[in-house]
Amino acid sequence: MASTTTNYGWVVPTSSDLVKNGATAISTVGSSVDTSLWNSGFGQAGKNKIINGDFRFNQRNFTSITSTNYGFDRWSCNISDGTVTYTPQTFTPGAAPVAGYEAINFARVVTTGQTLASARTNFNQNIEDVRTLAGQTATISFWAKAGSGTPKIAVELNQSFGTGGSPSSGVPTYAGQVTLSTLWARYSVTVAVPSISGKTMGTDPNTSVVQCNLFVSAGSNFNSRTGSLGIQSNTFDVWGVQVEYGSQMTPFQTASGGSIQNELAMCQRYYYRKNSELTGGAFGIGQCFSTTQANVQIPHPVTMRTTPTLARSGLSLTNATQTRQAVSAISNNGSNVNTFAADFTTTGIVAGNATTLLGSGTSTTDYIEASAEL
Amino acid sequence: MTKPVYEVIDNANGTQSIQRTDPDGKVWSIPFDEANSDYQAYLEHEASSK
Repeated sequence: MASTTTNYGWVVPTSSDLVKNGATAISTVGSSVDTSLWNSGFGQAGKNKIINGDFRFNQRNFTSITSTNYGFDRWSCNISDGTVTYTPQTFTPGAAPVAGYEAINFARVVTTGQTLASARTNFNQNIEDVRTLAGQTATISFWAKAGSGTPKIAVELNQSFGTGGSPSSGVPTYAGQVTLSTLWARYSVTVAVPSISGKTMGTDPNTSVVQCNLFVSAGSNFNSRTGSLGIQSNTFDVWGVQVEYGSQMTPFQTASGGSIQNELAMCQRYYYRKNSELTGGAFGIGQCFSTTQANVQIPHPVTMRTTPTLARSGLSLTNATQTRQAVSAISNNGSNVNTFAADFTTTGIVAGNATTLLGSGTSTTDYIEASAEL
Repeated sequence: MTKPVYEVIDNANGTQSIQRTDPDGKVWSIPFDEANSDYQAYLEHEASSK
């Protein structure tokens, strides 16, 4: 009589079972093991090399992009020629394409009017470190649908060996095409990622990448990289991107293994924005070194990939009577991978005094931001 | 303006940063750090404008 194992409930034979049933029992156990291993990969952190593959995070708060730029965290759209818009979309509750995974957002790219051989629209993420997946079989999977007809998406992994010194030239590897319909469906392509044996890495740390490209339109200049995808005018919706080792797509999971906080931290290695949250909320403390400038240093939420580019919106500095003085400029000065440090320009402050960097006092959406994207 | 405009800024303590103004008017402050991709874009811009 068969029994079941303690932890996974696999049906296994016992010593009283008939020998003639052995093959059937082994087959049953094998199927159970296969299913258990498959399901155990569902929540495995690090399986998916794509960060923010479910588009949960939109720290930039972007609403529409029409030229090459970042939108959702870690996701850029390279645009050349024609009219292309990249926008965030929200799933109606219950309408996400995966049962049991109530996603919030998906990405939409609309292409029209592209004609040139150099035309391109590729939705992409730079996966840090070209060693990732090198010499391995990799499977790229995603959900997608089209606005009309049956357009295609071409998938590419492009290895880049970083900057500094004399790094090897990039190695683009065309992975394949998938044909969409107007309904959400999951697609995958499997590709042999080239080895990096014999390649020279750039000397600047943390600058090599594997770029995952989803081409939705490409002129003839990109034929070798896209399987001659060609120019397409359509609406492309994408969600749930996963890049993983092996020849089989496994259930989708975010890079952090399903942790919202950890996934945000992974995004913030490359970009973060801190909002004032309150009207005139505080960001940090600094010191005035003239009547018009103060240096303010604020810890990053996580260690960043490299010294970031900085920007701000709104903001003010307090003067000797704790009155807000509007900030007019920012200059990166002393930042590193752990600290946001900048000189802020204003008026009416006193050299040597301490000062507080605040929101402008008229908005809850003033912010500082730091970008160390690849 | 259809392309970013770059300007080197001298800080009071003798350091420098690069100010990039995007076509939409947004201003970024880029460090002199070769691992920073915005700095690499600045170098490419400088090389192509020579």
